[in-house]
Amino acid sequence: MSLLTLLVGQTATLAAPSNPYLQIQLMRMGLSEGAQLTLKSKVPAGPMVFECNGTEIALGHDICKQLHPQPQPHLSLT
Amino acid sequence: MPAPVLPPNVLPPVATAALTTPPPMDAATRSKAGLVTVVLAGNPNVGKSVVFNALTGLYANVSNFPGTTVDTPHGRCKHNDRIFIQDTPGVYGLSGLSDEETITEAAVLDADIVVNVVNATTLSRDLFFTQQLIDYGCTVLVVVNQMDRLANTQQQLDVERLETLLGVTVLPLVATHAHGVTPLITLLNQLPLEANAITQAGNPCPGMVPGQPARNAEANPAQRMHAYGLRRKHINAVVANTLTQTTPSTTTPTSQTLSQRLGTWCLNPLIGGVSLLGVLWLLYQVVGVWVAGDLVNFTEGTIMLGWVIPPIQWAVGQVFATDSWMYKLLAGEFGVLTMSIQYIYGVLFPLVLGFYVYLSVLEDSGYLPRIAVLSDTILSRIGLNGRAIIPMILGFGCVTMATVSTRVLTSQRERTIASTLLAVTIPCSAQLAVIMALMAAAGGFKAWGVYLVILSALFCAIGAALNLVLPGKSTPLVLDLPPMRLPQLTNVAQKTWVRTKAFIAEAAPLFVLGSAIVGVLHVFGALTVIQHWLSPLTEQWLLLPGETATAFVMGLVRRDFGAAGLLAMGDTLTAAQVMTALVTITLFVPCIASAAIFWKERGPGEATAILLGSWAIAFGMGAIVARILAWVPIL
Ligand SMILES: Nc1nc2c(ncn2[C@@H]2O[C@H](COP(=O)(O)OP(=O)(O)O)[C@@H](O)[C@H]2O)c(=O)[nH]1
Repeated sequence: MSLLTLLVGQTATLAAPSNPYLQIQLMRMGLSEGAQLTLKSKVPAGPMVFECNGTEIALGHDICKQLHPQPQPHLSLT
Repeated sequence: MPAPVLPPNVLPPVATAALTTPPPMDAATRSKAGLVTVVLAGNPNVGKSVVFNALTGLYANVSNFPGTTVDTPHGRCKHNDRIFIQDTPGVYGLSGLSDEETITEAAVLDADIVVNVVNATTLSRDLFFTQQLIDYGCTVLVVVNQMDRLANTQQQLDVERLETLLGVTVLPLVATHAHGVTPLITLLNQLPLEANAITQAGNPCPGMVPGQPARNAEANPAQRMHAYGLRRKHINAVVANTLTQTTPSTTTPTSQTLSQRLGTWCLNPLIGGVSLLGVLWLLYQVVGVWVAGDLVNFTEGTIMLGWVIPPIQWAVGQVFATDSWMYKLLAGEFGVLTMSIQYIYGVLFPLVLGFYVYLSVLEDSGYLPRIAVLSDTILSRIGLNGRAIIPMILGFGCVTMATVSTRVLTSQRERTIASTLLAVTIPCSAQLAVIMALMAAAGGFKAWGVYLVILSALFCAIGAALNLVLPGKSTPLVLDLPPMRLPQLTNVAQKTWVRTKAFIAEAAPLFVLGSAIVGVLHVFGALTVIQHWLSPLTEQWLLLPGETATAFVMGLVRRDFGAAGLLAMGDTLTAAQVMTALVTITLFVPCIASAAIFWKERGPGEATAILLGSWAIAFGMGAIVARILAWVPIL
């Protein structure tokens, strides 16, 4: 299950990305393992826009596909 | 709606100076001369340009689009001329992931002191770079900017605590306020006396050895991951220890501000798509119709042709007989003096200005990054990502300018794809006006439909083909979305002016050179010879009358000359012939100025390939269109 399955308004806790390049890139931006991401909008078959620490960040479809929420019951509706 | 096509004229975005303009002297020379090198560094969109402008009185692009600083402005501090200030492109860290990171890394390692600007509302992101600078052994002064926005989020920053934890001086600022940068200036004024008086070496991230060892460690992929993990954890802890919520956050997620709601709307494919059409339509009305039409009629027709050009011709006529080749070269139909002045100031200048005003408004409002997000779906299929929408929109203004702006793209691969698409498939505003007029002759609505289908299909096909052939992969979109806000007049005015000046300065010599070349060809009869050679091609291959060859050759000089030449032949062509000629002329070659820019930006090999490719595609597509329209008379 990847971030692609999130619905707008849901919050997920990010699991560590398995792609090292992506992990480095996101870690610098504050999206490391454990970051709380709230899905704000979603372009069909396109990027997803998350709110994280008060800022909005758009991540391309391919990136979202490679990112996973932590398995716990973390998909809480807000 | 017959004409969903758009716009107008010129414009670039963002990058004005060359990507790697070297500072006037190297760091060693500067320090011998008693200068202190201060390098500004920070994440994109933190307010670095505002700080740079306040310190130097020079103008770097201030915009509400992350990643717009790609050139590296530099200058003396206007408050203290012993300080040399160097700006750097905004980056999230020094990992060599892009050209910008490489440029920034070289600059900070060369600095006497790094002024690291961070955004108070995104501290946990920004301080990662701060910590990396400290770990790399830079002497860092941290400027926490946008403190006003932090207050709006009901949070409070313990600046002293942050200083203690980082071990460097931390200065809170609101750079956009009238005297917001004064505390930094005051601090920098003490600099030449004692470099260490204003900040210290800083505390390295626990577990890391600062300076060269840290840099060496991070050069190794496995250790880099470890180091980044440590640093991220450390910074998260620092932020948790310094940032406190002042009022318990009672705000429910429903109490969104207008800015947030607007931002969300722009991202809705339906609303965003419709608003994008609206924005493009308005752009077309303002720049394409009003500026390119009414205003240029006045500036080119009345001012240039009426008042400016005749005295020049008269003066040249005093020296050379009006039928001498020198006269023709200087003041004739393609005269170096007359044509370049008429074109640069009569046509280009008003168009560039108009386009930049519009673009600056869009940019300052925070709308552009949202368009980028929306268009990512399509652009990522052709090896680009959403960021490339900016050069594409600009291309409808001026392909030359748009090509310069491909510097904002992340990789060389993306720049190649974007430049090729611009060169081949995007008609610039100069052409669009004439194309619109010809469309009526070619059958109106239906003609537009055919034209748009052909061009969009080619756009996608060429992009997809390059994406397949070029080694590598497109970089996926990772884009910060700044809040939407009302554009600020001073920002828009300043930005427009600086960009217009920079573009004219860059393009003017190319136009002069272009008209000189064409002038020489014309005077010595080479144009007629080329037209002669081309006529079999136009007659047999494109099924057009031989005279259309003239229009193609003129299209080399100025793309609109080509289309205008067709317009002059208007009635003698059938609808199918007009369509064939329009498609060919749109695809065929960029004008001389843009060819020169390709050369400069992409290098001789790639530029030649793009030019030859565009000829092949233009005549190939033209032949196909001519034959299909001959069989299927849909027009
Ligand atoms: N509210 C507020 N906005 C600021 C402040 N400093 C900069 N900005 C805005 O933030 C945006 C990004 O600034 P810019 O200087 O272009 O960022 P750069 O990418 O770091 O050079 C611009 O729209 C600025 O007007 C500040 O202190 N407060």
